[in-house]
Amino acid sequence: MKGERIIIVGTGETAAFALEYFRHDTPHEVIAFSADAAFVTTGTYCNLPVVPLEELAGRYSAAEHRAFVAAAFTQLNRVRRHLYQTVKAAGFGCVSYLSSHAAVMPDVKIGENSFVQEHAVLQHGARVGSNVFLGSGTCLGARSVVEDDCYLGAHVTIGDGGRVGRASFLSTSSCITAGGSVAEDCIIGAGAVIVKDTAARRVYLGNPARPVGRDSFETFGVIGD
Amino acid sequence: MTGRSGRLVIVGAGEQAAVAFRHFCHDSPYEVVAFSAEAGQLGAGVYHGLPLVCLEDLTRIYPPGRYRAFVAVSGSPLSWDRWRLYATVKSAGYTCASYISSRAFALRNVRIGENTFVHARAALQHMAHIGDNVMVGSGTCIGHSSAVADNCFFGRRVAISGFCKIGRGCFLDDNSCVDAGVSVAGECVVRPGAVVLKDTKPQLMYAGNPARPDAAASVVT
Repeated sequence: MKGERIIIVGTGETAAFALEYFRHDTPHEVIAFSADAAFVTTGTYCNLPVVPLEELAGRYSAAEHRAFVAAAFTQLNRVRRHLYQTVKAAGFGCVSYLSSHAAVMPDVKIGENSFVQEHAVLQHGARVGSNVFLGSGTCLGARSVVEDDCYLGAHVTIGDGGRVGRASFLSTSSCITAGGSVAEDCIIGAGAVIVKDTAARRVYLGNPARPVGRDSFETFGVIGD
Repeated sequence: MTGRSGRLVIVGAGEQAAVAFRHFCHDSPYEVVAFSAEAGQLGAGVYHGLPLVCLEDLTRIYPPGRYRAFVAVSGSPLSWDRWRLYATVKSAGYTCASYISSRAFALRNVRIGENTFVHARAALQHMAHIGDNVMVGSGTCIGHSSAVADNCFFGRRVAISGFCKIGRGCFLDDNSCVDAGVSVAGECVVRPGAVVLKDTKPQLMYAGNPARPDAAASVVT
């Protein structure tokens, strides 16, 4: 892998740990952080400069730098999606991070700005979209698909041929049985076991998982989508 | 392994001691020189081909200035013996060794106390704090900015999400999980596969998905 000079977009917990992973497990050099001007309260974060997002392209050439948007699942992944789209519109390419402690079959496809943590296992033919977070120990079964903007916490299991629709959030230790499908914009609670395909934009809890009758946008406070 | 960096006495003479012995021998810089146990558990005075000495005689035969200790006794809930023996060994003046498997993952900013044992495929994430005398089973993940207090025991494949607090002396059994930001109070037992979605009360047993306290099963006897 070629080492790039990268800017991490975000100044929260996810940005702080992304810095550690990039520093110690990639050839990339993180040179700065960036955030929406409204969130730039100090000139530095983790001893690196913080640049307002609006000034990023003026300060750092998009041809010579790459970006990584590091945000969690706030507003059901809308904040991360918005930042990613902003950075792309400014002309930046985004790097993905693949832990050296993950096991990824050679025919797996991963989009850009995705983050794959230690002990994740991506089995043959799995496809991961762009701007996806896969937590520690998460397993994607053979030919499974995780669409753009999803966030999967630690120890999530997607059975062979399973599918996760765009921008869904799967919490720690949840599971989709083989061939099962989670529609877009769902919230799947910690430890929930999906044995039947879900409807879009719903919240599911328990084993077997049941819809709890709440709208996912209201639950995670999605504004203006 | 070459370049041994210290000599170690394992306190315990049961299954946990045997497990610790294998790991320290094959995957650490320590040389294990002896075992130690309380009077009445000494048998023939030999365990795994090494001297098994009485805990009362330990400081005389293997003085704390020249040897480190590792307390390895039963992991059953709750491990009063493990806590008591660790306190005994510390008050005798020993520095206790910790073991982190070479096949575990730990970011560099993780803090780990003494007499803590981390098995293969465990993941200790960004800014995780692990106290003294903690056992972390194989495949267990301690999430970013989570804190584990002293004397806890984690089984295999336990998932602690980010920003969690696990109180002193908890026992979390295999495949259990704690949702992001949730606190497990001191001396709780979390049964296998239980999913803890809300803060717990101390000294109760939790089971199920979502985990609920079993009022009939106080863990304090």
